[in-house]
Amino acid sequence: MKRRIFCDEDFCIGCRLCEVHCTVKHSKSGDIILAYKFENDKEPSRMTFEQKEYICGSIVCMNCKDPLCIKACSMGAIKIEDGTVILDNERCVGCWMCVMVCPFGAIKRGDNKAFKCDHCHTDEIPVCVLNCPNKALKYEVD
Amino acid sequence: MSNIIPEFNVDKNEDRCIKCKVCVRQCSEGVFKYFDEFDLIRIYNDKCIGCHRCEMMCPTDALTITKNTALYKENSHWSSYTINSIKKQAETGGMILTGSGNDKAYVSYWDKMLLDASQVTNPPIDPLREPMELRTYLGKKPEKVILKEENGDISLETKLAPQIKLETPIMFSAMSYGSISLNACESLASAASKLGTFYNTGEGGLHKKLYKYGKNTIGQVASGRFGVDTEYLDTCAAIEIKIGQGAKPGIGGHLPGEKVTVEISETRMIPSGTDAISPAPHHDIYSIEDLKQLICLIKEATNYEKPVFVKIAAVHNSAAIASGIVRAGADVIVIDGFRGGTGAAPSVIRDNTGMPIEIALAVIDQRLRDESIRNEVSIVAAGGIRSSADAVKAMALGADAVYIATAALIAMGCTLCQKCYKGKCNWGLTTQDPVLTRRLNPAIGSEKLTNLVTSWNLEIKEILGSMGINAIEALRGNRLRLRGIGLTELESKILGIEHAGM
Repeated sequence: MKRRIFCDEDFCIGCRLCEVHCTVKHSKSGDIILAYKFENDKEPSRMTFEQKEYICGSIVCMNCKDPLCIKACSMGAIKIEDGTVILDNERCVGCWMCVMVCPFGAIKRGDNKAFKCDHCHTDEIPVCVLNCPNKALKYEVD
Repeated sequence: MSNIIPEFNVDKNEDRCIKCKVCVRQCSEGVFKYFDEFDLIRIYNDKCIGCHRCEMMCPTDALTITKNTALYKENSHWSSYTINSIKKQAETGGMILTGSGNDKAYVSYWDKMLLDASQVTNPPIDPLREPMELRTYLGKKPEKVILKEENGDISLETKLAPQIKLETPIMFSAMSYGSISLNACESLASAASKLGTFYNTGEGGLHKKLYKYGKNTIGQVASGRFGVDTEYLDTCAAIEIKIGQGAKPGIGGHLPGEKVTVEISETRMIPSGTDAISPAPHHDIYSIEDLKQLICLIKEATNYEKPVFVKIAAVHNSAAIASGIVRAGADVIVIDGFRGGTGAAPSVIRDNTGMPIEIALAVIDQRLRDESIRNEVSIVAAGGIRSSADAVKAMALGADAVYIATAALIAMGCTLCQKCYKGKCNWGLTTQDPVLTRRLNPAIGSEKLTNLVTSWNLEIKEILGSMGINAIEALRGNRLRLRGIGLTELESKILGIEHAGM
C-alpha cells in the first residue's frame, strides 16, 4: 500500500488553508483558535507551499518507494509503517541529513528535531485534502 | 480626493483572527494588506465590493461584511445609491457600469401567481411511485401528424422539422467565453451533457476544448459574428441568432482588448488584444425580411438539420416582433426578460429598460395562439428564473422550456455583487486573470450545476404530481392551473390568468 497526496497546480488557488488545517491537526488542542493564539509550542505546518506568478501548489512527503531519508538517517528514526514514511520524534537528534536528501524538500526543520507529513495516517482522508476548498489537493491510496 | 462614502464595512473580530492571511490572498480588490513589520492586517473598506469571498474563506469566521449603515442621511427620494452615483459621475464624467441583472424593486409577477393542486375530484400523483415525464422537444411542430401502416408497422409519414431533445425543460443561458472564464464554460458544458440538456456559447465562439460537448451546445450567432465558421455550425446542436439581451435591450457588447487573451482571440477569431465589439444591431438585419435571410442562410449552411433559435429581449412590442420571427422561419423563440443578467451594461439601461418576462411570455404566447401559429415555434423563457416554481409558472404561461444563467452562476459561487464588468471576479467566474480563473474547478462547478438542476427536476415532478399531471407537456400553456394574487384586473387580463377565487 502506498499513500500519496498531490496537488493539481491548475486548481490550487494559493489560499494556504491546507497549512492552517495541518497546523491545527498537529497541535495539542486540535482547536484552530487555541492552536494559533495560545499554544506557543505549536509546530508549523508540514506543507511546503510554493508559488511562481500565478502557478502555485503545496508539496508534502510523496512516500517514495525507496526513501532516501530512511537511508540517510543514522538514528533509524524514519521507517515505513502501513505504507507511510513516519519520522519518530523520540529518536530524531536533529542532524538534518533527511532534510538534505529529500528530493521534494518535504522534511522540515523544527527547533531541534526534524518533522514531516504523516499523511494523517490514522484518518481516512488527510485534513489538507479534506479542507482544500477547490479540491486541488488529491489523495490516492494504491 | 474621492468624496464617496464606502458602501461596505469590513469587520474583523480580533479575538478570532489567527492572522492566517487567507483574506489577504483571496481578495482580488486589495481590501486586505498585511504588514510584516507590525504583524498587522490592514483593511481598506473603500475597496470592498461586497462579494463575501473573504468571509466564506476565513477559517475562523472572524470576518463580517456589512452594509455601511452610516451611508448618508436617510432619504426616500435620494437614496444612498443615487447620491453615490451622482458623486461618481461628477468625479469621472463616465457612464455608471454594472453587471448581472436588474436589482430594482419592480414587481415580480412570479410572486403574484399561485399554482393549482388536485383535491378529491382529480387525484394527485405520487412522483416517487409513478413515472413522470419531463422530456421536452424544441422545434417547429407539424399542424397534423399523418401515420402510415405497412405490413403492420406504423411509421410517421409527416416529415418533422429538426428538433432538439431535452431531458429537462431547463437549459443554461448564453454566457460567452470572454464574459465568463473557460472553467465556467466547461462546468456548464459538462453539466449540460450529464443532464441531457443544453448550454449556450453566448457569442464567444466555441473553444477547442469544448467541441466534445457539441451535442449539448447551442451556438450563438450575434451581431459581432465572433467565432462563427462551418466547423462551429456543424458542431453545435442548434444555432441561436441573438437579436437582443434582456439586461440591455438595444445595446451591444464590448469586451475590452485587455481581456482578449490569445485563447479568446483564437476562439472568437479576432486579433488578440483588440476590443471585441458587438454592434447594437446586426448590420444586415433591419427588418423581419432581413432576419429571414439570415435564418435561411444558417439553415442552408447546416443542411436543414438544426433548429434555429431567435433570441429577443422583452420589449413593449415583443408580441408583434415574435409573430414576425415565426413568419421568418425560426424554430424557437427565446424571450429574455428585464431581470436577465449581463457581464456589463450601463446601469441606466439595465435598471430602466425592457419588461418583465412574465408579461412578455403571456402576450407572445397569446398572440401566436390568436394567429394560429403557436405550433410553428417553441418558446423559451429567460431572464430571472430563480427556482423550479418560477420555471413551472413560466411553462404554465406558455413556455416550452426555460433558460437559467444567474441561478447557474450562483450555483458555481456567484454572490451577485454585480461587479462582473471589472473582470476581477473573486469566484473565478467573470474573469480571465489566471490567478482567479483557477478558483473554479470545473469538476466542482459541474457537480454543483448538476445537483441544482437535478433538485429542480425533483421539485417540478413534485409540483406536477400535486396537480395530477404526469407530463410537463400537459402543463404547457395551461393557464387554468395558475391563479393571480394581488393583481389588478388589467394585470390578470394581460397575463391571461384568473384571480384567486375565480
